[in-house]
Amino acid sequence: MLFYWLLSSAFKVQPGRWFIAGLAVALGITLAVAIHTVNRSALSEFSRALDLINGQASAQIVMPTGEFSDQLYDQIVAQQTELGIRAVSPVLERNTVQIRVLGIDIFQAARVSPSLVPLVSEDQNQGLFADDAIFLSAAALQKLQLSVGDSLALDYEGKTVRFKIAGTVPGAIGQVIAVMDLGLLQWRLGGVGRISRLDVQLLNDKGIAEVAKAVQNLNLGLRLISAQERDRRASNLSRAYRVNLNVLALVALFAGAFLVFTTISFSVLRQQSQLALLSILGATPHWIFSLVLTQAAVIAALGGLLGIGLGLTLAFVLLNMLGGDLGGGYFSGAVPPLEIDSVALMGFWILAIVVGLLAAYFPAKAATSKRPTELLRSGSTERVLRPVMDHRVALIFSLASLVLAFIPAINDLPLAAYASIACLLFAGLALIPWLVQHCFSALANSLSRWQKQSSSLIFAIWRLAQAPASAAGLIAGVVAALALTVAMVVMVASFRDSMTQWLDQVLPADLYANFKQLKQDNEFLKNPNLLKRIEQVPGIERYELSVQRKVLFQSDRPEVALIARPIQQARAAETLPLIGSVYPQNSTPTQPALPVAYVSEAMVDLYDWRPGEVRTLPAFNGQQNPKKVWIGGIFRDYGRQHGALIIDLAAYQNMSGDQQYSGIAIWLVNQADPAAVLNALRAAIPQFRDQDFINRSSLRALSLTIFDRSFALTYALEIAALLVALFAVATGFAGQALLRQKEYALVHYLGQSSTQRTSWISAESGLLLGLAVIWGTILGLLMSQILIHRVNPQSFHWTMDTSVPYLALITLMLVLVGSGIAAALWASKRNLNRANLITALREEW
Amino acid sequence: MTLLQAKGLGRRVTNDRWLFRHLNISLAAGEQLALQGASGVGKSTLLNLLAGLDQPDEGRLLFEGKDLKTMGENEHLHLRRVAFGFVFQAFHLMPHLNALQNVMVPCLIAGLPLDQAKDRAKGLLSALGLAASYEQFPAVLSGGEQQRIALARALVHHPKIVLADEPTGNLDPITADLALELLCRACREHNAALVMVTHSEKAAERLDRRLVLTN
Repeated sequence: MLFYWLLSSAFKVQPGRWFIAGLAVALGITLAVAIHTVNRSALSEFSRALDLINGQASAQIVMPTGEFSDQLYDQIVAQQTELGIRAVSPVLERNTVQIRVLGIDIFQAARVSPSLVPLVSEDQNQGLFADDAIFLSAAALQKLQLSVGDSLALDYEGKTVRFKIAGTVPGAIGQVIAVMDLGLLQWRLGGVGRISRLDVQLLNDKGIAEVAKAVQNLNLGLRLISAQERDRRASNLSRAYRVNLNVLALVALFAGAFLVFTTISFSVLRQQSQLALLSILGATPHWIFSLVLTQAAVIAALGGLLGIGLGLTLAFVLLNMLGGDLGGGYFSGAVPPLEIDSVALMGFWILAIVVGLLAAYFPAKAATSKRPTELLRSGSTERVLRPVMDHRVALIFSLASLVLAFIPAINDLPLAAYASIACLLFAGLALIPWLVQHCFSALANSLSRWQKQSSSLIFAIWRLAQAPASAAGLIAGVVAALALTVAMVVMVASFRDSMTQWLDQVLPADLYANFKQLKQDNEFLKNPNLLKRIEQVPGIERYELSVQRKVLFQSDRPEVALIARPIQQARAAETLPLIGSVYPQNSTPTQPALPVAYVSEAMVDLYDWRPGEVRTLPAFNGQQNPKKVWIGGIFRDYGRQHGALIIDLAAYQNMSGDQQYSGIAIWLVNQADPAAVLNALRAAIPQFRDQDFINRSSLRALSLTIFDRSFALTYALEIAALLVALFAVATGFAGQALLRQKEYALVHYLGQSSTQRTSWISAESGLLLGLAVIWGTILGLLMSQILIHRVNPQSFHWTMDTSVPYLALITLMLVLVGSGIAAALWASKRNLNRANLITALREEW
Repeated sequence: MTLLQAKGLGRRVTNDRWLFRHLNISLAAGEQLALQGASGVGKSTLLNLLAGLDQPDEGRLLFEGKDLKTMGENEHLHLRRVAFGFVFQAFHLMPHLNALQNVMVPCLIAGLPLDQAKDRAKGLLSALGLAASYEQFPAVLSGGEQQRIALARALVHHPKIVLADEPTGNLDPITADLALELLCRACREHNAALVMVTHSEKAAERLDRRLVLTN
């Protein structure tokens, strides 16, 4: 009963502060739950979509370099039993402007991927194989606002083809897809004799690995991918981004823990005479320890529950506003339904309670480690708080941080680097009392020569120099939140600056176009005479055609981008954003030079493709001889974190036989008006009439907009962490004002005016916060180096140059100091008015 | 010369009940007065009134002939900075300041330069036998030492009157005797008047005269 009385009285004394502490925990949990739920919903939806689109096939056979000839399908069918395959269903995919269309062999699909099998509507007089029959899933009908029997015009590669909706795809629940006969799709939308993949069902006694090996041994360039590998590939697509967001959410929770820590600390300090009395009356240290821990556990548990509720609400809002990738640009399509992971939610709730208990552990320990009589002596506040932070702990954490920073990625994630950042943060926090003591002692010594100082400044410096642990407790949250914010701000600014420079380098031309609207195998693009007409257009200096295609290097990793464009080997360093030098190739008459490929940093990290080595590209278009290339250098690529390689266009065409182009870059003569040139170009070459072009500055601006959008949530989390820290400052100073009421009352008694008191509090909070922001910024700058040189290369496989946004940082520091002083003054005004001081004085007489 | 004068001083507890009424006191410069009476009789309240921290419900309080009631907040502050010294039963030293710094506090509030405040504090602490304890913090000092520091703090700015509330209440008899001796002697040396609330007859006997409050 006594336990309950004390517990409830602790909450009743300062309900506002406990509420804010609970809210801080709730904020961290909200963010963590929201991000986790959004990611889970998006990935589940993505996986479900893949399952449906693949029709629940247990595996797929694909060509790493893209589509392949249906002759290879025939070869697989001919040997399917020997390979361990029960049934094979060929699929061709076409992404039209309106909808994704799958072409299937309906009889085979019924055996392998039944969820893709269409159903002819009974009231339609149309056959399954009518030459305009298309079948839409219910979601597709809803999205396009059509019904069975309506006609549907699909735009694909510059042409429009009309179909009639002959029925539905009952198995494709929730997916926006259309299905039609394979031959019909090849004929109507292009791709006769082409196949995107083969969905397969394995024989019961055959394992995936065994069949995969058998397929590889056919030497057709085909590869078998299991459903699990496919899911992993989808997950890998955004894994590093998701982990980064989760870490940021935990940062907010960590900042919230400091608020719980300061609230519990001040609660313990306020109750220390009560606790000492209980101890004298026979309460065991264990009982008192439990009392303090229970206070924290209750508030953290309630905060955690609130956080879970708010997190799920936020997840719902984010899914509808930013989509499943939270602005990261990894997934697209329909808004995924909210998927609640109850095990994870329980985990987050337990995490909230653990955070609360950890935050209360040191104050609880301090409350029970001293003899009760000692707790009743003056100056015990400092003695209660001092053991919490120790500069020797800082040294140990610093060393741990240094060691962890040099550990490579674990399972492709920068876990050691994150641990290094956490250790650096702990080291920085543990060092705060030492810093406060030494900085302000030095300041007191240097100012002692200046005789006519204001008493407010002297009292402020004395207090800070001689009660460093109490001061450290106040600013630990600000230092933590600011350090992490500065680290992110510097990293994002460095990333943005490096990306801007990179964009300048990779976008040298004036106009760009992707041939989405233009049919890729359009004869026009193969006709040299027609191509020459481009250069004859007034205002055009020159142009470059390029090819970009996806190549699957590893079944469980996202595809690598292969870019083919004209590259003069001698000018590679000027035309590519190379890092380091070009590796020359020694060729001899007996050993002719190999085509040179330049690889992105991700290729080095993920596939170990290093400059100066010879590597083999997967076979193109079913050609049986994989091609060797010489790796000539590494280029920086912020566009493709899963790997890219650039090869000379002519060399690529020679090795692949591919004569298609996917884009064009056009250089204009000086002073030429892009709009006028485009008009002239479209007039001269009618095939370009519907082609979209984008100029360099728009493309650059678009890239930076996408960049900023992907960091929108990061900024939001940083602001949340800082707000929590400011809450911590405000409640910390409010607690201090109450704890130090006697001190303020005494000096009021000795003749200190309210103006002097205000300037004392301003000076003390200003000096303390000044040190906090300087130290937080230094820690943040150090952390940013771990983010830039370890986390980013290990997560996204790209490097960047450090660039510090001084103006933004100085503004941030000033805002924090200003708002901190305002919070301190507000807290003192609220708790130290004249009436309070007189009451305190009366009590003392 | 009269330093402090109370004329018909009264303080109400409730509308129809007075704590004390029609109280007249006259204190000369350097005079020492013991304030006695049973618990709850209003000794501490009277001390608050004399310090100007509280207002009487009737009567007037004059300090050097000037009515405290007519003084503004700044004049009250000035009076507390230069003319009053305080000694508390629980010492009330600032725990994070060392002995020397605690004694310097009133001088600094009054605007004295740092060195001057330090010299004065050192001189007083030395005179009170605490020359070796300048750098010591209150938590490591004995009750007697803490009270001597509090005494030094009360006298460091050369006040005209020291108001002391049970200054030896927290000390053992021997230490209390020593502290009292020091307090009376120091006040005399500095020509400061002393008003001391005490329950101790022995302590009251040391002072020039006593005022006993009764219901």
